[in-house]
Amino acid sequence: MRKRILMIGLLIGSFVGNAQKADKEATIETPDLHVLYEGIPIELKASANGDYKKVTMSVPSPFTAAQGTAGQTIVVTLTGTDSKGNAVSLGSKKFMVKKAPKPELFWNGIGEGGRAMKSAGSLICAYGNNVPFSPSKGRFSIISYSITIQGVKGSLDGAGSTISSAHQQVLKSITDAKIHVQVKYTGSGSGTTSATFN
Amino acid sequence: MKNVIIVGFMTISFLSYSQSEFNSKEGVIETPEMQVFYEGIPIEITAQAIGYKEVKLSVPNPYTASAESVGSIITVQCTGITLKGKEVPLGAKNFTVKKAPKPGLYWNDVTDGEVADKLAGSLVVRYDDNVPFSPSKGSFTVESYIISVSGIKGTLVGGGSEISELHLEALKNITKGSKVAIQVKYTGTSTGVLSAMFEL
Repeated sequence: MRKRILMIGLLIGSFVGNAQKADKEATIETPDLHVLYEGIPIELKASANGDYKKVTMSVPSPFTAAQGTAGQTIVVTLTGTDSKGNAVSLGSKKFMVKKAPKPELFWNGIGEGGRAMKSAGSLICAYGNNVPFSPSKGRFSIISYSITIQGVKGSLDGAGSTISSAHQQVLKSITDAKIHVQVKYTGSGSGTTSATFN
Repeated sequence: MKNVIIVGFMTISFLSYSQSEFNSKEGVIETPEMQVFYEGIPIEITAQAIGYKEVKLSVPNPYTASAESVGSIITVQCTGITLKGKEVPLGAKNFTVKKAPKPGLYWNDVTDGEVADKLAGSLVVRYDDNVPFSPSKGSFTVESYIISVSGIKGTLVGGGSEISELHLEALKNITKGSKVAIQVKYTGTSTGVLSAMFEL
């Protein structure tokens, strides 16, 4: 009889041991946003429940996807080191690499569709607060600009991020016309971006 | 004999327990700065927790942040329902609401800085593949356009997403190499104005 009770007890113990413990915290994720951007450092945070001396990721944090890797999938694996020094695999997560978002163009701090402030010639490419990371992570240099003015033949073409004095003089003489500015930029991403000013 | 059985069961019990601990100790990798929602964009949310009959979220899934909620923090709470029907709080995560990203303007599938295709007048505003979600989640309508050509006085102004036949005819007569700037007003997932400059 004692033997049977002992065996039943052990069977129950085995079943209980096999049942997984209920988590105290859920993992909430947005799979749509599992992305990394070319040239943008993105912080990665790893955590694991359990008695681990150390938890390490297969990539550095912050991680910056290299230029030309858009379309690739980066698999970040997580490894825990237990109290005996053994490495324990703790799963992985996939991230899609995308091209850095296109920055916006500002002329003396005025953006697309705004009224041009022709008193200075500062052109800046910057992110607005609609990128998923901190906008300050995007750094851009303007290589060249091309300005066309409604009703005026040709374009004012120049280099760098400051409209030349000669071109500023031309712009100051313009009244009631749309001014289109297109720049070539480089930095966190590269390409062209345009804006129209009134 | 009795001892052999006991040791056998103890071993099975220990191995089973060890295995379950290993399985439940999956790590979590997060990108804290990417915890964002976008106005007007449905974002899928998943919640996982082991040991519950059901795991519920405090917001609908997918979640679409309403217009004018930019800057607000949305706290998504998770609740587990045990086999006995008891509700257990399983933590929460904060998401910052941002304005929807700015789309790009395409004239016959040609974008800013490229050589224009003057044969047709299709103007499309859409997302490129550099938004963090699927570009198809953004849906836009072009309300009106203004076209300026370098060296030509005045502008070609029209409604809708098709450059009118009359305006297309005018563009076909423009000298090769001229620059054409197009500004459109768009609405949909977000609203605003957008410019692109093309070379003829």
